[in-house]
Amino acid sequence: MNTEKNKRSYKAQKVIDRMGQKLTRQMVGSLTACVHCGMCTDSCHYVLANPGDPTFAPAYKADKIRKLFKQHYDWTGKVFPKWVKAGSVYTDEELQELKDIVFGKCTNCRRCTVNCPMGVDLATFNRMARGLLCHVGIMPEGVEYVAKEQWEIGNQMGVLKEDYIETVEWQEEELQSEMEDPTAKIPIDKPDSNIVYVINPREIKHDPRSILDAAKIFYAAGEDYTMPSEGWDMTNFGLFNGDDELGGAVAGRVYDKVEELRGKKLVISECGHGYRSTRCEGPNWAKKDITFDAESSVITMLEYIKQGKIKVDKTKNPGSYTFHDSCNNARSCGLTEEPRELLSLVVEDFREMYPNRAENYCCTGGGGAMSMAEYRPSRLKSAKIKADQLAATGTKTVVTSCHNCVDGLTDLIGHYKLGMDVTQLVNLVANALVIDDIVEENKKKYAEKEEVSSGSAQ
Amino acid sequence: METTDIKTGNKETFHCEDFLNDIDFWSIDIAEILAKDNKIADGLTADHWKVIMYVREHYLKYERGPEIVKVVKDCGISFKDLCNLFPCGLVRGAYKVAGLPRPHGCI
Repeated sequence: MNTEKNKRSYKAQKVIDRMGQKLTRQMVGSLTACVHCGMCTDSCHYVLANPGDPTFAPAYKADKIRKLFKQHYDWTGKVFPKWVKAGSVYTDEELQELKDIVFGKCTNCRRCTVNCPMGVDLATFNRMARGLLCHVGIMPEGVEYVAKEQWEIGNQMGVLKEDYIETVEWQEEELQSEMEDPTAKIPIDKPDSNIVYVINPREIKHDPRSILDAAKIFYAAGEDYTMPSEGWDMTNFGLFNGDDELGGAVAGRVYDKVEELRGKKLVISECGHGYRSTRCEGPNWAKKDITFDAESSVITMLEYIKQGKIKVDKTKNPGSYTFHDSCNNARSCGLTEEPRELLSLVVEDFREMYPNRAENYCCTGGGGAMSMAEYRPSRLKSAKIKADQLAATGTKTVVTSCHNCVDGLTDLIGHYKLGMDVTQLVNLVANALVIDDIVEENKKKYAEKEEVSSGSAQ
Repeated sequence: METTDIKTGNKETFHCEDFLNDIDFWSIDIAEILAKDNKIADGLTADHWKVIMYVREHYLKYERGPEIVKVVKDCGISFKDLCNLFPCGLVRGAYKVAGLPRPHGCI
């Protein structure tokens, strides 16, 4: 009989056992490389906003996971456990405490990672720890709810297929009205299209303006595109809850639909974690080699302007703007220059925020934090760093290429009473479109057709 | 938040971002106060109430707030008018004033 095992709760034992299955070389490298130099400490917005509390330090948080690795999976922990601070978990209460660290004290933003001289990637094994806890049902209520919706219904907001289609058709009517073109389409499931366009469910459920804006841009560019009737949710809570199976299932639905439609390119609307999950991590989770190109809609819009497919007038977007880099876009996917280039083309007054690009601070809503209501007070306290950074730009509007950042920034702007607006590139590009000539031409064309048809009817 | 103390003195009544915890706790008076806190300065009009009651009924029937397309079509108002009625948006405006709990997910 194993007395060590019997001392441990059922869930604690499952966590230890599963850790052995989830460790990769990258994680083991990170778990063994830390020299406790403290370089990560000053890079973390939680630490900067809580200077007197060492429990927010990345190295401290990492040690809570590292001790398990040392105790159970590393030879050093077996030979001199005290020297390497090996330790274990025994009770469900300890797992709850670990939950509050890996979900509540880290947004997996990876700013500590890019500032670590040893290359320790805390966010990667923090995500693994989240996955271990989720495996035994220990996670924030919001994360559990959303993961269930995404697995069972197919998107994170539980939107039914008929409601999705009704919304797209509604936006198609709006497009026809604005373009004065009754034949303007937002095609659904059109096979062999150049582009399959996938979105964040909040665009369907709560605010479809970005769908209409994207449709206007595609219309003006004369693009051959489609939106899929299924596999249209490019967000992925598998990234947030550390569940590779969920990540693979969600990303796999998108890939399967693009292949079924024989789409040439997958274009992902502005969402940091969605972009990272669908373009970068998804193929590994889904164990699939994707056969088509995938890119952010930021790149698609920029190329349209560069190739002369759409014309924009930056004077249509007056006021001052700054740009907030999404952690997943900038630090994890290197998408830093294209959004700035695009923003400079559609607004007159773009002012850089400091620090920026891979050194930018998290919106504080990253890593699924916006769905973890219980940690909001701590999140907003840590948001002081971001609030100061935003205020220092002296701008009226902050632009970001991430839906999650829109919500995180909106929440902290309200809390710190900054009085700033938040918007996305798709909104600014659509607003800057020079389409008056197209609309006038459509108006004449369809007025003439109406005259002809009414004349022939008489 | 200010409203927390005005209404009940009981902070347990409110969840994240001052969404109500319990839809049954809602009342017309609470709706009026929540409206003021959420950029509806001149009080609730008949159009506001049409949306509020629709959103509440939908939640009580399906245990989730309605999609925006349903609100616009079933209440017979334009999207632009809905944005003007609830400047904080469907969720932080209409859902919140109607007493719905904060929805899960990226919002």
